[in-house]
Amino acid sequence: MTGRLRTGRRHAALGIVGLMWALPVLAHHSIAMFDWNKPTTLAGTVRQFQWTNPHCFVQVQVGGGQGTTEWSVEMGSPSALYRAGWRPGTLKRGDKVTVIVAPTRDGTAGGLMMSAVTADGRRFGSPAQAGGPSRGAP
Amino acid sequence: MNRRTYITLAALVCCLPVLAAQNSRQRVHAFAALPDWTGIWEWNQSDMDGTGEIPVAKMLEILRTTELYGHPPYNAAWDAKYRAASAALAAQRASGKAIAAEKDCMFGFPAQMAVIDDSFQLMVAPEQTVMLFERHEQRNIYTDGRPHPSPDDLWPTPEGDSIGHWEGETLVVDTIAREAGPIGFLATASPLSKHAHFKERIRMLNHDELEDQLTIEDPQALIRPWKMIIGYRRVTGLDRFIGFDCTHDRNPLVNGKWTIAPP
Repeated sequence: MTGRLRTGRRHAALGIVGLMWALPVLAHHSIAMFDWNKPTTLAGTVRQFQWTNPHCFVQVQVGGGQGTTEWSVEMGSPSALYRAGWRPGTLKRGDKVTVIVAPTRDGTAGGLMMSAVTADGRRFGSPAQAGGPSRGAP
Repeated sequence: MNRRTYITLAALVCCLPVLAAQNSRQRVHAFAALPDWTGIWEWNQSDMDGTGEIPVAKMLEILRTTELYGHPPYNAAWDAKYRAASAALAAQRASGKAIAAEKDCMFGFPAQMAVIDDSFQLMVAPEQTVMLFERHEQRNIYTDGRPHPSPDDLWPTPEGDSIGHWEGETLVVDTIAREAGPIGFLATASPLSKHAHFKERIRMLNHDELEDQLTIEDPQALIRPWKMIIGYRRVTGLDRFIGFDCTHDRNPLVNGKWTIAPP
């Protein structure tokens, strides 16, 4: 059942991606740079939470030792995040965090946040978007 | 100083508090007659998720259903230009190359009236209604009875020139002198001419909802008045007005593609 649901979502996502290339964009910039068909789970440690315009970013270090990769996870604006319950102090350096991102299409370690779970269990975003490949997940 | 001057000054000193009190009372009454729209508002399509972004499915639905970002009722000549521009944009998107115009930190009128995830503050006074937008843009709608400036005192701006009057609790707005060009970066293929004329009827539906009945007339570009209704709701979750800017923009265009710059 779960598998079928995931497949259905994947097909829906494929259709959406096709449409996105044909439609204008919203907000600050085009989101065509992100691959919504490959939601990727990142479990890592916060190096920095940038509470900045036009977009907030979380720098998440995934993996350990020589294999550590730092991801730049893009979010909405401070105003938008504030309305969703975020605060500049929601994430601090060293916090464990699990985020699901739509990764960049160019393969760089970056993506747009789809959902997040903080170390103290607070959840942000749509859990329906969970799934896809994992990086650094336990 | 002669005696007459002393008497005149004394009379003024005596009368000023009375006049001030009368003015104050009149002003209090003028304010009391206005609807209270004070607060922070947002487009009623701004259904962000918990990450401050709009879910993709919702975004697509908004794009499909928002009249302002749809196909304007152009005349034949402008429609041909619109279709050609739309086709060119689609081809560019299909090639994977980003469109530089599809990124901006400012909107201008009328796009600023329908922006996902941005809010605006409303302040209603007898002399004008002020809309302050997150992106540090503002509309001043003068309701003190003035006309638009004369042609030799008027120049096109992103906001245009807005005057208005109250019909009951409906603010009737007339805007001209908006810069020619695209409706906004959300609709880069849809320009309006410098002759575009905007008529709005803004009213409160209930304590938490506003409605803007917008009609766009453009004798140079449109074949008929283009009518739409844009809805707003009070913002919850904000205890202050938070501005937006592009000071720390990390999304440069590199080799024709949007990227994320290193921190």
